[in-house]
Amino acid sequence: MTSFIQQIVDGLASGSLYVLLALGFTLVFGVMGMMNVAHADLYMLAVFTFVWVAEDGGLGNIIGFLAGTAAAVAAGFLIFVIVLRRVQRTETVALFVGTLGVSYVIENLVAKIVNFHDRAVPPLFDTKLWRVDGVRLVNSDVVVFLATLAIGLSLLFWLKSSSTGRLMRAVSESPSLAEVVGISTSKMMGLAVVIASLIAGVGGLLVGNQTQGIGPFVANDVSLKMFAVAVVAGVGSVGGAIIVGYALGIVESFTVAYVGSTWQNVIGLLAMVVVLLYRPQGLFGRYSRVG
Amino acid sequence: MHQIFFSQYVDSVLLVAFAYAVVTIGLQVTLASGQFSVAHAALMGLGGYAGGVISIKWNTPFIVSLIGGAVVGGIIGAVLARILVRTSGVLLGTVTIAIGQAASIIMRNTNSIAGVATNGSQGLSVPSRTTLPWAFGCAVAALAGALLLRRSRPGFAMLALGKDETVARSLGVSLLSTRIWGFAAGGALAGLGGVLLAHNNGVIEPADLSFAHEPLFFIFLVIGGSTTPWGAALGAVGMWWLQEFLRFPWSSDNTFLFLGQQDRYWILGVILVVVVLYRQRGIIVRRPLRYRGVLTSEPSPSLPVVVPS
Repeated sequence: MTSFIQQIVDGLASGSLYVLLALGFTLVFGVMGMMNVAHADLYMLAVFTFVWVAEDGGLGNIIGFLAGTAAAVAAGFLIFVIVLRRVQRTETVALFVGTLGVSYVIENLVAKIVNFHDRAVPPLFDTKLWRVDGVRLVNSDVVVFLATLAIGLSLLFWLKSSSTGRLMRAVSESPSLAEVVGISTSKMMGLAVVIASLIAGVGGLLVGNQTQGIGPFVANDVSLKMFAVAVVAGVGSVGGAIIVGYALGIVESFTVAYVGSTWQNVIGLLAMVVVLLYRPQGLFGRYSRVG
Repeated sequence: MHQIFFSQYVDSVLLVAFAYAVVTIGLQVTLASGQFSVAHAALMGLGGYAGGVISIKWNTPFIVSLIGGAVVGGIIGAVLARILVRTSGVLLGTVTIAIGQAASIIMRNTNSIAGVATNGSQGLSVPSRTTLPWAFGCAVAALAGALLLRRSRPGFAMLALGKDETVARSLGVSLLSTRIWGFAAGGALAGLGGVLLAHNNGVIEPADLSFAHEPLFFIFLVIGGSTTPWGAALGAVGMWWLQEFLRFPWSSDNTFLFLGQQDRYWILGVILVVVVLYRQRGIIVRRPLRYRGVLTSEPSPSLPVVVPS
């Protein structure tokens, strides 16, 4: 029983990363109808900036944290201005490939700078280990879990009840109708991208503190899980992304414990295929978006 | 001596370029049928595995391995199309990413196929059999096949479905069978290219199937032109040349000004983004289909002129 609870705790800790990235990804997908393949690279970029500023620059953790977040937001906004805003929506392949190209550029430029090596991430605070009835609890895991939950729920609440959030949901439901009633869709899209990048940056730094390592190509595996979570939850469904992200983390940690670590990365992807066969709009999606 | 080395170098670059051209034409065929497949690297790898296993187990002539790889790629493609018939667009792309990745992981956990040791993650060692004429022949055959397909009735059905699903279906184009044929034809070409590549590299690994290899084909296809097989073929050959050129083979330490050979990846990425922004359909664009017959019609009958009296 202890090991069972331990798997759930570990799953919640590792699922936090999927939730954090899927939140932003699904928000942008919902509002713009575009999948931003380069979204997971913002996490990588934030952590690397933190390492450069805090450790190589010797400026300390707080400035490093701010610089990492700023780098993620700036990169996200640049991707929006240069690529996302300008690609024609009707060309599905061009849409996908444009952001794929961006991801290729970011990863390989960073890889070039660090000579294709992984880096250790300096911890934000001292790691403490607690044992509650035999279950291991690490304080960095707890911080990531609580922060993710807070970010996710406040995003959900903001979308639900604030006036800007309502405008954003209107754009998500129908961009053309939103334009007709006088909502500036391009402003909403930019805002969605900035919020998504902010979440990816802050969350990414907390996750970097948890995993204590970062590599330039870490986004490849993570972005597949991000797609899986967003698609299984239903594109544009923020609440669904929270539930499915944690569920994926828990399922993966059970897979590692009882099936074998080689199958860890395949479970979520297979779940996605099965869900899409029976519910093409996703588990929590109300609308199926064409294109 | 330098001349010999140089010509061998050119041969090896061209050989890989032609093999990639075959895969890229396959990707173009599948995309043209309205299915956004991101699983062609996996189909290519599985075709390569099939061809390699056939070569080793029965020591067959090379042509048999090629056909075997193409058949396996085609069958897997057809099965994928059947399973995924309810999804389309970007969602289909996402699911095919997942399937490709799953195939890679499954091959990593497979230690033998039909009694031939595939060695899990180390990959299957394949005899080196691909020569430049084989690669060139396959590329020409693939291009000719894809061009002929566009002139045939099933090819028109695929194009129609790719352009507008609703209109195509209302005109009586069968969604299921057209999609299956589109994915099967593309998968067969991907498998064929995979056999060529595996028998050139001497090894086929599970990592070759993964999503990490997928951007390459999209770079070839989108820069070359995604609307015609010519774009796929010329894009693959041209871009492969370009990326070999960016390794600066003429310089002794592979550097040029401040650029080293590692820089070619992000340079390719920048080229890709620029092409996507300014030429969404790639450099070579197909002329739109149009009716080439005589466009005269009967003059409309004029009404009798009634002169008011």
